[in-house]
Amino acid sequence: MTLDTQYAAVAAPGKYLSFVLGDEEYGVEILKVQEINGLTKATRVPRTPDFVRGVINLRGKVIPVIDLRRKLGMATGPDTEKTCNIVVQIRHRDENVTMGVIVDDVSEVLNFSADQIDPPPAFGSGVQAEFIIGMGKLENNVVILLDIEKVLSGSELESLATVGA
Amino acid sequence: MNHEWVFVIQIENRGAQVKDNGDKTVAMRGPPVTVTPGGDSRLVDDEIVAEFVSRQKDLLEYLENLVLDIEVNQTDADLPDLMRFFHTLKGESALLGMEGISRLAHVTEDMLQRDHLADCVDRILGVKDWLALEFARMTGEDEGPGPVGDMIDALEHGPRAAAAAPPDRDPDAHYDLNLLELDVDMLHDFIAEAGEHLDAAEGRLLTLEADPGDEEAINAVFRCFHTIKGVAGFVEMEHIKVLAHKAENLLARARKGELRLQGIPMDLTFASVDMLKRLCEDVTAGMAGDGRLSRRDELSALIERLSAACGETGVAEGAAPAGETAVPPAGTAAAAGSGASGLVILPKARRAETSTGDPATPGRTAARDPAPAVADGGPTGEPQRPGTVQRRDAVRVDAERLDLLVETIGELVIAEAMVSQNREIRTLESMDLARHLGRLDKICRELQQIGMSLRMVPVRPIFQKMARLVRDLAKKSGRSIEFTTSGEDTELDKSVVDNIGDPLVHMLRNSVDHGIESDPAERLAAGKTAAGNIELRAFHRGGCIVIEVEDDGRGLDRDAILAKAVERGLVGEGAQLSEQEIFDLIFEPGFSTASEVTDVSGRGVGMDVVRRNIEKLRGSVDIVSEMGRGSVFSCILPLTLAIIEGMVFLTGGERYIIPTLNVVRLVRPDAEHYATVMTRGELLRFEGQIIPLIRLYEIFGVADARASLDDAVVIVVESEGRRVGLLADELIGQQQIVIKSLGDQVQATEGLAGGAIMSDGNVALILDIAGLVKVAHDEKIAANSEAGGRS
Repeated sequence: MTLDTQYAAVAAPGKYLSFVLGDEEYGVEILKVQEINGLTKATRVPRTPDFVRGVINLRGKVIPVIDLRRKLGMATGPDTEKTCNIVVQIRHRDENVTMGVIVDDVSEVLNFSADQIDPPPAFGSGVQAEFIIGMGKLENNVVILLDIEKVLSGSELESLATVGA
Repeated sequence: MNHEWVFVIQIENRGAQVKDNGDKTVAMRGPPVTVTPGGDSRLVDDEIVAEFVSRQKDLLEYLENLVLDIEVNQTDADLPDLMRFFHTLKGESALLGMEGISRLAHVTEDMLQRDHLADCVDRILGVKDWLALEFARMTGEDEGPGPVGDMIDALEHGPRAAAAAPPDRDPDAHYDLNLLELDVDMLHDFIAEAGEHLDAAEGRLLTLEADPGDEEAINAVFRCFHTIKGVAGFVEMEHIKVLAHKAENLLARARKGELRLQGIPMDLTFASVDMLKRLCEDVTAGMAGDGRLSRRDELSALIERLSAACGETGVAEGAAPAGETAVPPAGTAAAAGSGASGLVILPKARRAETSTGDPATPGRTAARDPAPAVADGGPTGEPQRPGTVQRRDAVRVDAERLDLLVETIGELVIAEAMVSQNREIRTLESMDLARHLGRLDKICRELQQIGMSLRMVPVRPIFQKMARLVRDLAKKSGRSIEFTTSGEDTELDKSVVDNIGDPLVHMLRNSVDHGIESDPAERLAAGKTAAGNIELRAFHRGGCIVIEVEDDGRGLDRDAILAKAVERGLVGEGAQLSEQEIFDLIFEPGFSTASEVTDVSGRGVGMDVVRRNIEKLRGSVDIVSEMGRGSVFSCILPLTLAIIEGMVFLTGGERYIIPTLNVVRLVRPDAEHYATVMTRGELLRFEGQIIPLIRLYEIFGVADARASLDDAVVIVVESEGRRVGLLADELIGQQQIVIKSLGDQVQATEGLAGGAIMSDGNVALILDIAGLVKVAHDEKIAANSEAGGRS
């Protein structure tokens, strides 16, 4: 799976968890999602970039929580009742890392076949193109499929420590 | 109610302690035991037989230890135990219709009553081997031993060796084996176990090297080889078995006093241990890969040399090592003995024999002067345990499952705290409830204590590895070094023990290469012994474990280090540094290499690795050194990575924790103790010292913190000898804290050591004082230069 996401730019067909950020609907591979939780109070970690909400206690484990709106450079608003935390497991430097991702709302699990997935557009969309691995087509909607591993790891997070310093 | 109670745990180490002392595991894993007893007709429940057989395997181990014990101590004290063992075996096997075993047990009983116990040892071992093979046959794991009649004959007719080995196998057959077709679980267990035995053997060999007459050590090594041989045969690792067998033969001769373990025999034994390790690695690699074993051509050469050293002639020539396996250990020793006296001995063997009287064999520079070695009872300095066989039940548990257990206990403790600290529950004034909660609390603490102790392991294996390392290094560099260790039984968290190896290697390498003078004359001139002394020790101090490497070599050259640092621009010209600060320079990355090239300070290779690794373990390194007298490197490590004693305080509504180890004192400074200096920021006078004052809320960007010295408190902390005052709103309390990683990404944040889950379920952050001091320092400099630029 790691290979797929690392080298193939186009999303693989399969199940995606869709969620809402702003006016758009996004999707992440369901296999990377561990659970979905309501929002709990995060402890702010000083000297980290602003997209890091802080750390929370996930049943005895301390995990970092990322504000996806901020991470993707979108305007932020206050948390609502629907705001929730998607806990994902990603591979980072050959280790499994658990992280929380705060999104506006979680919608549903969608199944995309290969012909329902288009390659990412070359332009448009407020999100940095490198994070998008495809566009999932529904009848009257398009879901932006995110490479959550790339969003949360790699050079992006390497810089996390230094940005804050 | 400002008190927050979070997992108050005692780190103290009593309570149940499941220790893996290298003894056998209780449960035999492997395929379900399908039993096919010998031709005897019987009407017994298969399950009973299976239970019997699986129990015997354990008992046989016990038997073997007992017998070896008898041999070491030359005592009859264990005779009743032996008799009981065989008597029970006789009864049980008869009940289960295993007539062969029953008869054999009976004959053995007779023999024990008839003959002198000491003469029976070889035969009993023969019986044990036979029984092991027989039980293995019953479970379908082996082809079984020779006919029981031969065995019984051997017992009845005096100390003649009994042939109990399985039929010969092709010596190279193992290269055709597909490991993956074997029982992989069992192989894994075997490799893990063999590794432990080899490490233990290595440690004992080092003891032997200093004191070749140490019988207990010889026996221990013998036992290691013997066990490996046995299990290797069991898991069809024929080549390992052959090698272990050969090494065992050599040891057997040493045991009988026919050969002194010095010079070539000693080197051969070391070589065997190394080869066995490599063979085990091959098996691991094979299992991870395509299931094939890679070829080791050196193997047959080593086996030949071993045979030669044992005085076994002819047989070993050519590639027929497997032919040797037919001889059981008991018999071989006798046979080898007679062979040595009567037959032509190969030149190598002769040299081995003659070297007995000449301890100073060339090429063995690490050999100590035998006299002091005998006087102080061996290089490890530990009184060898008398030959009592300790039998302790141990269960081998997957480390992951253990971690999971410890983690879950941690969660339980948090949950318990959440319940008992719950506001609503606290308002209920019920005696009953309070009592129950108290009980729950107590149980939780006990559980946590046990959980923590599960992860504690002694540092012994690491120390043994280091002893070997020093021996090899000394040999390579042509120095004569006496290496002593103490405190091997000091226990540390497994994760600490696992990570302490690397830094120790570097520290010892430094001590050998750069600490100890290469020229003995130089040492003698300085009034030291010709051989260098290096001591590795572990001990408790306060709530920490200290691991120290001490050498009596040259010591650190303060001026040279300082000169080098100035040259490299690490330190300004004419800077006034304390001794500790100068010594700390050798930890600077890259500092080492430069100094090595010029060979000025002599020390420093890999020292940055040492400090980084030790700090990763939340420890620190101290250096004490005197020019010309030697150095002591002390690694101060936390008892466990998981728990610290911490002080919780508030800053602007956010909770932070400081490791209590770092806290010097809490003060409410008066205005007269406070000063602002243009270039150095805010300062505080504390115990006659001027220390910098750090406003935590500034560094961490916390809003609404108390900024006035009148309201706030100052926590004076210390790290690496430097003191700093931290301004905080108020102190909440002191408690034991389970450290949790913040995750790879956030962890890298300077000034933070981790997080802890508080009783309300939220996370509080633990400060890394060393990092914080650095951050504050850097920022002050930056701020000052900015201010300077503006003005």
